[in-house]
Amino acid sequence: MQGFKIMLERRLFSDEVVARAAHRYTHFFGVELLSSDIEIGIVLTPHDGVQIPADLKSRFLNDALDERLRESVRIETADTHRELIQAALREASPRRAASTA
Amino acid sequence: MLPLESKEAISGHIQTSLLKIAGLAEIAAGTHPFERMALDLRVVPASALSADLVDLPWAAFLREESQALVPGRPSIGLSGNPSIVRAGDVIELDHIQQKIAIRYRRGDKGNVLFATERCNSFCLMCSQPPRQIQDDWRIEQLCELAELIDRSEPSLAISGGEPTLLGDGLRRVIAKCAEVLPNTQLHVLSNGRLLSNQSLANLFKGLTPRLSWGIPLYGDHYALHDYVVQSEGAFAQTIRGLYALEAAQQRIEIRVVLVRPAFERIQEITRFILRNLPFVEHVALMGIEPVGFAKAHYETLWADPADYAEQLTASTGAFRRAGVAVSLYNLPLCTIPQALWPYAKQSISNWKNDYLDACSGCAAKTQCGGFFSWVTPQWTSRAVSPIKKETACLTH
Amino acid sequence: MKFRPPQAFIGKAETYHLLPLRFRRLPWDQGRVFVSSLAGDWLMMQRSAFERFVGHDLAADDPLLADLQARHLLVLDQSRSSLAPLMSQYRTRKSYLLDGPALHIFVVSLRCHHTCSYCQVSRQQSSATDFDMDANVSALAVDRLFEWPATELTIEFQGGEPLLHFDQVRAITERILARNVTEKRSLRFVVASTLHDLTDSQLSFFKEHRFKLSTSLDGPEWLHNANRPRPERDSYRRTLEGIERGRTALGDDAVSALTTLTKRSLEVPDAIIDEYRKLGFHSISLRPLSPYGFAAKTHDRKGYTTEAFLDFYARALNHLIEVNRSGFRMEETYASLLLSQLLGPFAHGYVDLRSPTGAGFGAVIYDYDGQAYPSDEARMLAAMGDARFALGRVDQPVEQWLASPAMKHLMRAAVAEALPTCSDCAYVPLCGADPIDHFARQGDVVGHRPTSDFCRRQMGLFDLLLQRYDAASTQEREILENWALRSPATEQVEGALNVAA
Repeated sequence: MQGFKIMLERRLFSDEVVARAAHRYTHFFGVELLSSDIEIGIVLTPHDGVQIPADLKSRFLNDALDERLRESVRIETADTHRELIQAALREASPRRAASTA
Repeated sequence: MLPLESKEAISGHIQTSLLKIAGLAEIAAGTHPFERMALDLRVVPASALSADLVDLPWAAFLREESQALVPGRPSIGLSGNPSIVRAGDVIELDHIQQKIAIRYRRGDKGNVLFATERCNSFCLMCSQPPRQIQDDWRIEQLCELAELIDRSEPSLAISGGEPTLLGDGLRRVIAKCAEVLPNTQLHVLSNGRLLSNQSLANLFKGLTPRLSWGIPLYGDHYALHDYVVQSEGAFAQTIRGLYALEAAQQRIEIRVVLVRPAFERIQEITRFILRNLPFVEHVALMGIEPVGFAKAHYETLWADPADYAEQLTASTGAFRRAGVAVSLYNLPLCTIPQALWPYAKQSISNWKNDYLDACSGCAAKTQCGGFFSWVTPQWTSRAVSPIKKETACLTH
Repeated sequence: MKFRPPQAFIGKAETYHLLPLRFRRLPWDQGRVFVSSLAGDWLMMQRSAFERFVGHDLAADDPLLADLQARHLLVLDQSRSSLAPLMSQYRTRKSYLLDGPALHIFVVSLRCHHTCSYCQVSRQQSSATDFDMDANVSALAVDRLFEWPATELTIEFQGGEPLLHFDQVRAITERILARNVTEKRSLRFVVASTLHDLTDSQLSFFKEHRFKLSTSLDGPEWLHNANRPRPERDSYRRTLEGIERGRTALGDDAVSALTTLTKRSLEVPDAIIDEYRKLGFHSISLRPLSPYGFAAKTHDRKGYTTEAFLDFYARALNHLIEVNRSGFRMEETYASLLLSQLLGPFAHGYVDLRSPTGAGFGAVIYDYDGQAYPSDEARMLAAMGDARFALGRVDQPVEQWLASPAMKHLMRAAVAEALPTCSDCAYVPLCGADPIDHFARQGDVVGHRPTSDFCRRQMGLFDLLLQRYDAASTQEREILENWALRSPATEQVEGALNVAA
């Protein structure tokens, strides 16, 4: 089967962003990532019986842009996220002391 | 309107400043010491006016000015509207200014225990503009007052100013009421800000199941709420106060006075309450009382309920579907959609409640809460008009 | 006293801070996104506006700022804000964690009259008493039951057909009630049964202890009988008789029914719903097949894809809303569950769709042979030959079960927020983890989301309901809200929607 190749600039999309976007395609496609200094190539090879949609590139680009937004959110909020969960669940405590048996 | 104050002729020296007015029922029941009561001579028939009765150690006698004095005994001579004070009421005397103030009026559904003139907010529509004054003496007086209130009184509000400024004093007043008025519902009106301190909120834990708190909320984000109450940080404190009250197992009502900035945002405020404060027992959406600071802010505050029928319907519907009790206060029936009439309560305290001339032909008058006595045309909805009999009957 | 204008109360608002959030581009409108907070509050907005929001490019007077603050998606001036509501929402939504498992299922027998090809239970013939729970096992199981701390317990009797071993149902109930005199828990009893051959003495027992009866009704007679063969070919008639007698003895509200959807069922959504309406049910459960028991063996012939199920469900939902619009109140239980999460802040009372998973944490199964499992699915896997998720035996204390290899294995993938792809999903605060389902279908408790049927189903249903709600008229919104907000919250554990009957 012929793989469909998409090239993305590494200065615009981090490796993590590309990997996460590519992961979403692993239902219908085999995924291969090729990287050079300035670019990442994503090769999507459709499984048996899967048609390559006409707008595959724009779909992938949208997903990559979404993952980039998620990365921004993660960078800014990861610490707060952890602190909030810990604070919210702090009062959850065992009903009885653990048995010594 | 039936004022809570009146200039009357007080003669003789009366030891106690709070007096229970005693009619025939009070004489028979003997629930209060005579030293704390004033015998209402207007209701005692001449045949019953024996020396035995008069010689009892009444603190004073209440009579019409035209009636004879009881020689050598202190008295209050009424010259104005006789309904101002009646048997069962509790009055406070001001000898110097020759005034009586009615601190408890039997049969008025809106009796308020006034806790303090101080407040830590400055709401745009404040109906009781605050004064920075040392008035902790009120704690003791309210405890005394509680002892003279009818045991059968269904409900009392505790308000101010901001009652939580009394600190433990507020707890003492509530505990006293719980003790001497075990059947009376107590509703504290508070902005909740100081209750963000959990140890203050905890003072009220387990006091009495008849205690509930009415806490106003004017926005779903701080800029709006803080603006309406004119205090930076008020929203965050009130929110924390609400959670502290919940942790202290208190019953909570949210009040939203429908000033225009809040009315504009009422659906979002509704959503915020349902998402963040699902433990509230009741929500009151309230028409503005045009008195105090409100009068100076007409342009900012006035919102004709008739212009917000859709929002009122949506909000009430959202609360109803979520199983949260909701009421409409201070909104005459002709100003709201008929489908919302079941939520409208006759909420205005008797003493400041009146109807307009327009209401004389209204078929729904007896079900409707009417207006504040101090309402003026600019604070009156353009939708005010008598309801026809056919329309009124549909609600039964 | 000088009054200040609104601008004076904006505080330090030159910049704002993001709070943890997730988003999803709407499949039906790619220009908009659904954005959810840590605790499952949300709003929808233009994707371009969302990009500006994340990039800190929203203007200080943008009306979105107020909405985003109210939903705890951003903080403006921290000194004037409080995160207490966000944490309160989070605790509220996860409050089912606080009490320990509240649903306790007793599998009293595997015997059954039917020979349903989709049977998840690995039933046995109705005379095979080797597959009954004996007195010793049931006594120990009741001891284990009261070791759990939950103040409200739902005890559900299942099989096979539990009424074929009614003596044990009675014995267990009485034993529990006797113990409860000192324990003082709040108890609910449920029987999942075909309701065939119900006797008067069984009914009067159920009435005395205020049992709820849950039965299977797949749809109109031809469908029900085709799905659920009895040698006499009269399952439908007997089921209706059982429902009628159950209602008469216990009240209409005490009898509920659910469907199991076969390939045939998928062709006739309206007929199934109309059948339930005809019989006066105000609640229907449209349950898809799961890959257990005999269903796994017959899957290729009788199975269907998740897409086919979603397509059916959309048509069924349409018809159901029409039924409600015409004045007959009827909810679909799973839609109500999802809507309760979408439209409100409360935890739901079902053990399905929880994070941490309901398996073990919310429910415990006591099998006829004395084995304990964290979920019905774990039990079914064991019946198919893989007992790795067995917690232990009823003669062991529950602390040992909680420390078992089975629980440890499960816990690796029990929190959806920590699973790959789930952790980024905008629906995750409303959704749940099902490590055993993923293990059964994909061979791994963590699972692979892009190929996960579980994931596809949840997302498909959330998308469907959200799209419906977004476009709904006021009347339709009220119908959906009534389903959502009258849905059982934590006061009442409703059981598991995947229960076989």
